[in-house]
Amino acid sequence: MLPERYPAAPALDVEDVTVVLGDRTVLWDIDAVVPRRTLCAVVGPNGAGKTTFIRAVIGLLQPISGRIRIMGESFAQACRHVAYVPQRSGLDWDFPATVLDVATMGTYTSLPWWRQLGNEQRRRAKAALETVGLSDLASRSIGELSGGQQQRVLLARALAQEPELFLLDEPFQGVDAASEASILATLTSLRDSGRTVIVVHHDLHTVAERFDRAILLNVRKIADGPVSECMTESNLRRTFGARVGFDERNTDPRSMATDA
Amino acid sequence: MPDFAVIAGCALAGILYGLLGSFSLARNQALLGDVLSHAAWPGLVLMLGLTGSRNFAILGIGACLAGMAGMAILDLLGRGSNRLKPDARLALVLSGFFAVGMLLARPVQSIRPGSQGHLQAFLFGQTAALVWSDVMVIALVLALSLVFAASRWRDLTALCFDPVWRQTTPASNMATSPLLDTILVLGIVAGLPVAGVALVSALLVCLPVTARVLTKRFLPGTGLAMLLGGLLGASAPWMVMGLESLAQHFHGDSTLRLPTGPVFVLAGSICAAGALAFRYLARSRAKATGAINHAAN
Repeated sequence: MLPERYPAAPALDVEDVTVVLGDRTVLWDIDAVVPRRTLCAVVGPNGAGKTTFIRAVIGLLQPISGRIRIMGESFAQACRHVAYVPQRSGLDWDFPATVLDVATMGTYTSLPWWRQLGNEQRRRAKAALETVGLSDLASRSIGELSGGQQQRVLLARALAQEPELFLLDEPFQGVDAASEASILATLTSLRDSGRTVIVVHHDLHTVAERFDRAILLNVRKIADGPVSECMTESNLRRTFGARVGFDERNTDPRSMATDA
Repeated sequence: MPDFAVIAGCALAGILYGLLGSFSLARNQALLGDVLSHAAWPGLVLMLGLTGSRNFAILGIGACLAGMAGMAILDLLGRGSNRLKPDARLALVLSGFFAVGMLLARPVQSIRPGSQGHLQAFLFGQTAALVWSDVMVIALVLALSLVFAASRWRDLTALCFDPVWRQTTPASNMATSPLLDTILVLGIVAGLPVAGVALVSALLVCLPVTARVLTKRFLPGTGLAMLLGGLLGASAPWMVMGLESLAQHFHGDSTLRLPTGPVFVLAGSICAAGALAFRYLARSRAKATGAINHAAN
């Protein structure tokens, strides 16, 4: 179910976006395009505005200028086709729910409030758990999961939404190697089946090896495009080295808080 | 034999607080109820001063308006770049509103002679004086809450577990969060005749805490909190009667009168403590068995 109103539009098109939080400029004049059917990493040091970038894309933050289009539409129009996977550390894992409950939550988004949860929703939730390899733990309390398993539950919830565009915020933070490999494999197969996946990430190794494209951010956009073209030594130095034209105070408090 | 209105009022309030408290606890807002009951206080005092009415339906309107104002200020303090931490916000609104209420209480008592006892009853609750019109208010709010919770259950679950994610879904168009806040204010105000400003929110915490410890999913947990609230509420007047007759038996003192609200709250707190102790014992036992198995291997 593609939003075929603009079939030729890229999955994400960001133009001249500036975000200010309080009196700090967190993102300055960002332009970036992510074509469909790609696996794209958003890369940058802590406080570079990566989380802010994702939050602006999904409408949680209002840019003071610029335009964001998702498959040619505004986020409000396209939100049915977008799934956001938040940072696992921002959630209350004591919430009384099972693994299957959280995966089922993903099907809520396409179900009007007056309709009952049906077999279709249950099937989708179970299929999503199967994909991330958590079927055996379906009836386990989420409070008993490891970090990697928690991240996979959140990915399963996104899968159950059956979106065209996935946005993941630091999905590999505090995750064991096996879960990281499994999540990466899932994301790759999503790309192969025609979806677009955007991941905030900071391990440059996996980006170079496994991702198609990258957006290099440090308050300003340093570069974006295919990994082979934009992950050059000079671009990386500009991203992670001296903070180009901005001082240390230009950090995103949200990403600082959740990175800890 | 306790008055039937008292039994019905306590039972319905228990069910109501089991339901509303489950949402508050799940949203990590267990203290919000306490803040709202204190925020409602100046509205109630002012309404009594303005109208001179003793009718709870009329005083309740003032209490609700003040409660909503408290909620709005809480929200306002959380915005902007110099936003306060949640605990500071809660403390500010609670104490600020309560101070206004206490300040107003004096002049109101002098313009409306004889209102002192009435105000005291709302401050500390006077369950034994519950009348059917009070019970009807509680029943009405309970019915409203049940319809709301049943029709918006899925969205409420998402709101409690992951409000940020929910904001990115089409559900963000539904006004579930402000509706829940409004119903919480109504519920708190409706319960004032039962337990008073000081204690009403205790029920909002102890019932769902007990249920949370004993269940692992949200729907059964909420159901259990409601059931427990209903049972404790219905039995609280009987407990009071039992305690009073015990006192008479041992001391020969037949004039002793115990307040029902605090007994209700205490029974709920004992349940919560019992459930927590049960979980602690179960866990340490599981740990010990695990250690033994580990050693055996």
